[in-house]
Amino acid sequence: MRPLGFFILWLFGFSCQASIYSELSLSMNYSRNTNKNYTTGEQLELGGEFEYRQSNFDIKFDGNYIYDFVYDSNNNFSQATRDNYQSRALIREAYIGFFVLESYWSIGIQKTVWGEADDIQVVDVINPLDFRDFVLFDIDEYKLGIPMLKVDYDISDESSLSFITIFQYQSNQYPPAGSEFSFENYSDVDLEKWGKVEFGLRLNSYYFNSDVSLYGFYGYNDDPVISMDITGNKSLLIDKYAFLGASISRPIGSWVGRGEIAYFKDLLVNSASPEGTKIDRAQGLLGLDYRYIDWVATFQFTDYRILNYSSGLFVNKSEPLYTLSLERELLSGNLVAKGAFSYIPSQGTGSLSQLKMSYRPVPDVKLDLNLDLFTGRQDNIFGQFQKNDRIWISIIYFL
Amino acid sequence: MKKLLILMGLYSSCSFASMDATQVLNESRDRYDGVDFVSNVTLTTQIKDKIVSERKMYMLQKDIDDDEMTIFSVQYPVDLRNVGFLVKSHKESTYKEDLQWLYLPAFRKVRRISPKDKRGAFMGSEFSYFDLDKLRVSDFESKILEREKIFGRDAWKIERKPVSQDVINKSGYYKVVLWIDVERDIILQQDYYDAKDILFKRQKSMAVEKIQDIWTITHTTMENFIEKKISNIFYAETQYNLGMNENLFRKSKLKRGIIHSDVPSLTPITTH
Repeated sequence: MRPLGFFILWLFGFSCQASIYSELSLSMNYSRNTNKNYTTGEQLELGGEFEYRQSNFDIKFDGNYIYDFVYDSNNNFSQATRDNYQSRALIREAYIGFFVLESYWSIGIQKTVWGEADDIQVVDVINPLDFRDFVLFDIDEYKLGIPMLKVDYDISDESSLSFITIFQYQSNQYPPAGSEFSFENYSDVDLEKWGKVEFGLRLNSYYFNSDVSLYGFYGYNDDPVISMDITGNKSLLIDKYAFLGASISRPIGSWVGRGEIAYFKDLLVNSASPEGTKIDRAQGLLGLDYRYIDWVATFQFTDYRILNYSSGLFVNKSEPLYTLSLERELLSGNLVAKGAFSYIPSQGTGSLSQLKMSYRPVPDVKLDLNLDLFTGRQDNIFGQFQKNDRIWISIIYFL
Repeated sequence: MKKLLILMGLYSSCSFASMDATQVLNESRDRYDGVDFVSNVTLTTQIKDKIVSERKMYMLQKDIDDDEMTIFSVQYPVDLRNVGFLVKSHKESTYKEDLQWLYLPAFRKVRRISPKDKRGAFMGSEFSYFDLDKLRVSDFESKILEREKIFGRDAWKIERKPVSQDVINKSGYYKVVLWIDVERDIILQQDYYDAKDILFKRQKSMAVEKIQDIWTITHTTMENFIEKKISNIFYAETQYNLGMNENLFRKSKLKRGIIHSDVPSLTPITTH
């Protein structure tokens, strides 16, 4: 008992001062399909965040509960959609962290960001995504926290090592058929498997005026392969793959250049074979940021190549994506305006134009306006939602 | 011959004045400000008497080897909580640009920022990132205009003009006139001029206190005559030479955020 007592005293560092932070927020969100002119969301959201922090120990909780009234009165959606999305509680993060052996250990549900890209996953392979609302402006809004142990060790002032062990596999989540953003041929995918352990390693450093990171990951495909037996029963298949990647960020005059490369070995993808097919994939990203007084413009290009492509695969051999965004603060920092344009030239072309404005009239209230416009052909990832243009308004009150 | 003598005399007086201005600026830049310091910073912007924006943050600074590391960690308002800004400034004699990183919790990512354009508003205020930089003497050609009294203090009045278009692009200023306290080496006021030689911004040191035997600016303002806005920075509870750990100034720490136990001698900043 005595060692446990000492351990608890050490953890709480009774002689140190603690920082306790708690925040409750209440949001009302309203969204509408502007093509077909019906309401897609009438949400009441209660958010809660709690932090207890000391110099050697911390606890964090961040979660929310959402009730969507749109399913009480609207028959545009399937029963499966109503079951999944009418009432939801979500833990975004819940973990404890502590310093031991000169390292910071955190265990629990967490989100981790790898790489230098904005809202594009090339080397950012740790957390899966929830596509319930398709692609939101900020990737963190639809990234799913998952149970993991993370150990961060500072090798020097400018170098750090991060080791991640994921205890529970969680796939990307795709909405059921009959949802506002359900994918044709790839709906109702949500697979959790406890004990499917994944490992990640990141080395971050600074060389020749550049921020450089190297990554390694050994885990399971985030998009499971859908397999049907002869009776039509669907099963979701996953298998292990290995990943190596690197990223760099460096100022070049008034610009900041960003780059990422990734290599996926034995990644399981959908194919004519019911078990799927393992492929090797190389992927890259080039990003450029330009700052002009209060404006920040960002351009990104990413593409991948399947190195052992065969005709039976249900994925493209390559899929280039271009993004352009512009951002600035106005009204003494109380209004943030962002615009983004994403374009995929393959599969008949498709684009997504997004506008996001956040206005803080008083410190405890925030108003958000989001606008998403889709164009393109039905078989393009953006074009499939050409009839799903969306306007989304939120009022957030920090209690 | 008479004209030549006048020209020679003019040249020698200019070069003498230039040398003196550089010396005064060097002394101001290099004046002792402790090995490290912390402060509770409040940044407000007002239009007439109405405060339209308020930010509260911890500011930490430490000399590490030949570099000066500065970190701002925002605590208020709630939706900007844990936004962090880390600057590594090299000694001017190295001719190296600063290194800057910004941590935005919404993205969970530390972003590199180019130091070539510092004209942007610092946290939405009338202070630009350039205004908060350490004085760089060689970026401007400087000359002493006169010695005059300002705010009741004896001061050197110095005119500075950028040495290159790059400096204009970085600072946004075509001319700066500043007043440096003769006795304390502190900048008391700076007037900023645009391309048409119009005075458009003015920075004033409103309050100066002696803390641990170091003259310290505790309140500074920036008035924008075009926008008709005034921003204030209040440096409260400034404390020097605390022996802060170098770990606080790492990029990895920027992600975890500065918390009160990192700066226990300051009053905690509350979010509401």
